[in-house]
This record gives sequence, C-alpha cells and structure tokens, in this order.
Amino acid sequence: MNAQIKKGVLEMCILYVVSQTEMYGYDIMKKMNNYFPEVNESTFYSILRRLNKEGATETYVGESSNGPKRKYYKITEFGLKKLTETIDQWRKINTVVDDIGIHK
Amino acid sequence: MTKRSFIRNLRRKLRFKYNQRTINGIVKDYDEYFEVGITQGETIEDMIKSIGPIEEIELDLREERDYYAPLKLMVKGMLSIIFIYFSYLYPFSMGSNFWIVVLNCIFILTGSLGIWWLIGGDFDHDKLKDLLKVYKKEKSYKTITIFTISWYVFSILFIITSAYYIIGNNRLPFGLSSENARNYVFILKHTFIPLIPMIILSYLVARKYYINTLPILLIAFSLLASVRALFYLYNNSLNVEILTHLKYFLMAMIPIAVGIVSSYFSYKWMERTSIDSNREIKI
Repeated sequence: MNAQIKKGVLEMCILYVVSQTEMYGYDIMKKMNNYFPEVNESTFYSILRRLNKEGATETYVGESSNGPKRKYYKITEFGLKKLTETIDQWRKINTVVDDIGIHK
Repeated sequence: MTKRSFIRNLRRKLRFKYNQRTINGIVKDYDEYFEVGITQGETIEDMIKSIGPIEEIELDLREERDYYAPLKLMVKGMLSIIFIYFSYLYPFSMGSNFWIVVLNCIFILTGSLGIWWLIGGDFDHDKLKDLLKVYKKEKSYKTITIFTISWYVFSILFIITSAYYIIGNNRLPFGLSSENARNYVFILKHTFIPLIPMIILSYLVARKYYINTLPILLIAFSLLASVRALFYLYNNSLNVEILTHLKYFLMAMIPIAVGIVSSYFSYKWMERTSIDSNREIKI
C-alpha cells in the first residue's frame, strides 16, 4: 500500500477504535495488528503518539484488569471532530473512485 | 534479544537527536507494551518482531521533527562550546558590586545552558509557547522566532565583547588584579581542566538515570563555580578582615542558590508541561 495513503487510513482507523472504547496501548496495537498484520506495530504507536500530541486523544492512568496501572487513551472532542471529518473525506473519496470505474 | 537490550538499543538510536522527555515517553510506552504482552503470554521475541525495526521508530519520529533540526543542533553545539568557554573563563571577582554578581550568575547559567545543549537537552518550542501564553495563532510563531533570535543575538554580542576584552586588553574584564590573570596557562588550568570531568560526570549520571541533564548540570556547575570562587578568594584575600570575608563568601554562594533555584523551577516546569504526558490526568 502506498505509504501516504496507509498512514492516513491507519490514523483514521486508530482514532475510530479509540472512539469506540477507551483502551490502553497494548490492546490498541493488537486490535490494529488483527486488521493490518503486515504493518509494524511501531507505526501504530507513532500514529497514536502523534494523535495525542495534537490533542485528538488524551491519556490517563487507570486500573487494568490484571493489576498494575496502565496508560489509557481516550478520544477528545477535537479528536471526534477530526474523526468525523476524516470519515467524510474517506467516504467521498470512495464514491469518486467508484465513479471513475475502479471497482473495489 | 531481551527486553532490556531492545530498550537500550532504542535509547541509543534516539539519543542526541531528541530530547530526554520525548525519549522517556517513547520508552515508557514500549515498556508498558512488553509488560502487558508478557502477562498475555507472548514471548519477547514475538513482540520485538511485531514491533518492527528500531530504525523505523526513529524514521517515524523524524517526520514529526522539523527539517532544519540537524542544522540547528550543530549551531547549538558550536554556540554551546563557546558559551562554556567564555562563561567559565570569567573570574568570579568578589569585588565591587551587586551587578558583577548578577553578571556572574548569568555567565553560569549561560555556561550551563551550553553544556546542556551539548549533551542533548533541548528547548521545546511548545513549552516556550506555553510560557509566553500564546497558543496556536500565527502571532505565536513570530513571538517565538523573535525570542529565539534575540537569544542568539545577545549571546553573539556577549561573546564578541568578551573576546574583545580578552584579546584586546590582554586581561580579563571586571578586574582580576592578580598577576596570574595575565597568565593564560593559569586560566586554562583553573577553567577547562576542572570543567571536563564535570561535564563527563554530569553526563554519565544523567545518562544512567535517564533524566534531563539540565538540573544536574546547573547544580554541578554552580557548585564548581562557587568552589572555584572560594578558592580564588582564599588565595587572594588573606589580608582582608573577617566581615569582608563574609560578604565575599555570601556573594560566592549566590551562584549556587541561583543554580539550584533555577534548576528546580526549570525541572518542574518541564515535568508539568511535558509533551508526552500532555493531557495526562491521574486517576
């Protein structure tokens, strides 16, 4: 997959996953790895870090099911806004790609 | 590979290119990743394999960095060596007045900053933004640029003036009246040579504990400067009466106080506004 497209799509997917539930890093990695097995997990981490840096997500330290405190990620208002915009764009692009005649 | 060697390699790859705060944040993430993975029954090898090559981690980070960062780093390196040399070269003249003490403190801080830059610390523009209470507007970039440029301009002017005094007048400004002041070997002996082990020691300590070097350097530098000042004082003021002794002694302590106080506040400031724990709310 083209690197630029991949990064954009991964960012959208990660943000979506975080918007559904608040989870900690490891779970996010594993979930993304399920859907994108060929992508290095370090890529997911760096996207996550970037999202956090720009304020689309925020972190907090909370309890985990198996004991020690973990860093949880949750989406912010800004993140939700960014997510809906990105999904809109993605849908529009898909429509155009279909219109051109490229089949999924 | 073990978890420890992975983390060590990661740190080694990122060291000197990114500031300690960023590196610690990344390491903490991967640390936690390994911890959780182990409880889920994964092997370290599998985890390292799925993380991918360390080079990619660095490459991803590099994209977030600004394009001119390596050049800036080089300029900082050069400036920092000059800072260290000139600020430490200044005599801690225990003489006349309050302003000389203030200048001494500035020299010490500048020197410490130089050492800090050299060793890999950094000024984070986002922190400066917070400090100046400007956020995400076009104006803020102008402010930061002006601030940074003034800093460099001031430093260069400072260096030029010092160079003029030292080279032009063949003696150190603010009056070291002792014969020895004109002896450059004496100056080197009392400045560079103690400085080098101090830099190395501070670096080793900071590296071992993975903390930002600035607080340690400021304290170490201030201590060393004050010790040196006291030493100079002892050698040159034996004829002075006790009260004057005390006054000079207290003045020599001011650099230590400045060093400790500023290092404490700068450390707290950096902890509080750390980018990687940007929105961390402790539950």
